[in-house]
Amino acid sequence: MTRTNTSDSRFLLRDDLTAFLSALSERCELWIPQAVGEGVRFLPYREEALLNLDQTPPDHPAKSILFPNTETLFRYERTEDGAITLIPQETTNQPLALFGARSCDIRAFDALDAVFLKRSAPDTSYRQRRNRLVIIGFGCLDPAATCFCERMGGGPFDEAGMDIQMIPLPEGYLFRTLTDRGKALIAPLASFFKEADPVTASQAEALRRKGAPHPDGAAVDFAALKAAVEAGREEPFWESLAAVCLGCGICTFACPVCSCFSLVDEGALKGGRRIRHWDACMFSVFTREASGHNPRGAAVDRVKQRFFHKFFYSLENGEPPGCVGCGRCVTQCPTCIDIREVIDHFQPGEG
Amino acid sequence: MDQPLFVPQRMEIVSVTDEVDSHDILTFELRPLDGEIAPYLPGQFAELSVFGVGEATFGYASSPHETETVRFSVKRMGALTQELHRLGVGATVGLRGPLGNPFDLARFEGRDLIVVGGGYAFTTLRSLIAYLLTDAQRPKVGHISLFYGVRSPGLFLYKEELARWEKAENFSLHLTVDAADENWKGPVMVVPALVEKVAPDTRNAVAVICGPPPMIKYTLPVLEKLDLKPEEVFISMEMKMKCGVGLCGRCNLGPKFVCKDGPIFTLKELRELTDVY
Ligand SMILES: Cc1cc2nc3c(=O)[nH]c(=O)nc-3n(C[C@H](O)[C@H](O)[C@H](O)COP(=O)(O)OP(=O)(O)OC[C@H]3O[C@@H](n4cnc5c(N)ncnc54)[C@H](O)[C@@H]3O)c2cc1C
Ligand code: SF4
Ligand code: SF4
Ligand code: FES
Repeated sequence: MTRTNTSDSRFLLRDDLTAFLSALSERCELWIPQAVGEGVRFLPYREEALLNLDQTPPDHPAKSILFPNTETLFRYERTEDGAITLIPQETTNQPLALFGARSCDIRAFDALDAVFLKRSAPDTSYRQRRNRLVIIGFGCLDPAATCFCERMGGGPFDEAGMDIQMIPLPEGYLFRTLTDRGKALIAPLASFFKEADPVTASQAEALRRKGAPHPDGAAVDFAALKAAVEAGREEPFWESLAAVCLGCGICTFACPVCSCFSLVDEGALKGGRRIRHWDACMFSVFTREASGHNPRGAAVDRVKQRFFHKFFYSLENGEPPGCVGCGRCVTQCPTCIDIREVIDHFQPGEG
Repeated sequence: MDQPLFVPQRMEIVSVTDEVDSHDILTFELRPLDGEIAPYLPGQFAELSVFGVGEATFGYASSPHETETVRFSVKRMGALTQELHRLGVGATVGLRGPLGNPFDLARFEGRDLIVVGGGYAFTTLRSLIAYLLTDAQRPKVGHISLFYGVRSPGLFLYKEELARWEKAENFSLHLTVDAADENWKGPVMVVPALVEKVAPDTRNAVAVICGPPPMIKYTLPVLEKLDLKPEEVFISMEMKMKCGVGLCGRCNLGPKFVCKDGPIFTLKELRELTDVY
């Protein structure tokens, strides 16, 4: 992707953000982080949506823009004489804009790309959305106590994968345009912006360079972690996790990297649809066969699968590690299983 | 726009054959309603759709030289297979395939073959043997010893074909059952025991195994005793599947996916991946 000169920075006043998003939504399919019920999640823009840029990170990962929780793959119709017609999903070329996602969620797209675009046959519906995607990322000012993106090779102001990086400042937001695609997205909305004055620009630059205050911890050496996890496959440590895991799957649904799914039909004789929906390796039925045989029948097999996939299999297959350090699984696990403890167990003495 | 990954090809059922005395395995012969039959090789599989129920995984029972149609032998198990068994000639199903890797036939060239099978997994071996017995393929491999076991004589698949193979040249057929009936004159023992008893010549042989996990488990030590090397034992693996293309995350053995990197693995590869066998 072509990266433009970083001097292309413009300023959007805080008070103009609502009008800007409204205007942007006329030009593309826009997703923003919004408060829904008790959580914050990325959903398509609506005028009445409650934008929330403050929660670090939003409860739900941004992956749903590329990999929806539930997606129709095709519809089928059966006529009186039994003939079946298949109707593929309609496609569009309209840009798909992700607004306000933090660097952890955007780095996770690398891992999703590795699965859906590079691992085998490209996933056509994923690729279709990926090609349409333009990302306005959000510099992250106050990481949560459970965030550990820096240990995983990222950082609150990491701009990797973004087309535009938005830096929050007291009066508004500095938009750093990083790619031509980002430039094209906001070019028609130039009237919302003013030139960044030198003081604002240097404030933003200082923030970006320094990063935000962030919980400590040594950077993870992935090759060493992989070797340690592989060597520790029979350790009793896994049993200690399995003993408390409920198998609820929240850790995988909350994870921006996890991408397991199922395919099911929904409908009746006359017609219906085949859908793809998120699934979880933490469910015992995930691998249970018609005969009743289950290769991962015990909780410990499933706990191992989750972490082995993240820190061993992915790396073995040349894919990015399965964790970007967003901390969602840490905060949302009902029994407080903490992936940082798994990392520390296998990489002791470096924290 | 490219062909969407998960939209199947529509196929018409052109015949249904009841294969066994227990009437729970039917062979469906399918002809494409859209496009052509996608080229496949023995060992590969497909996802068959019953619209409104979903998809399930089946090995090709037909051989690539049978060009007009494809066939799958389906045992009635759960949701999809039950619905499929209710469909008759003329009904429309879906097919996504071929998926997975075929038998690496180049590695069989010039070698004798010891083929060991049981249960419905025999479908895949039928495809392999029917293909190898074609005029074009037959000269490429040496002696074929086929071991095939079922619970009782009425449960053998493809009985007429087995009768023909029995007379084929350079081919020995070893059938066995767990429980005989009044007409059965052959051995009554499990497959691994029969392989051990017959002790086929392994000096220039490779082995192929396809069957229920216990059969595989107890056959492997026998093959090892007969001096077959782990890299010369080819096993067709089975795991629950959905996508069939390495994406849904269900069928991995360690870092490999049975659907994408398999279903055929050598024993050597499997030993490196898992301690299941
Ligand atoms: C490579 C391979 C080749 C196979 N070849 C044959 C064959 O030639 N003939 C035959 O009768 N059976 C074959 N099977 C087994 C067959 O796939 C299952 O019996 C079938 O999926 C059961 O589906 P169901 O909907 O009736 O059962 P349910 O228990 O209702 O299963 C629900 C879903 O789970 C999945 N599933 C369940 N069990 C299995 C399983 N053992 N393997 C894969 N997916 C499963 C399927 O997606 C299925 O639709 C093969 C399996 C594999 C992996
Ligand atoms: S494993 Fe946990 S901390 Fe890591 S990316 Fe997934 S949800 Fe975030
Ligand atoms: S969220 Fe916690 S309890 Fe639930 S499956 Fe994950 S590790 Fe187990
Ligand atoms: S069946 Fe989906 S990964 Fe193998």
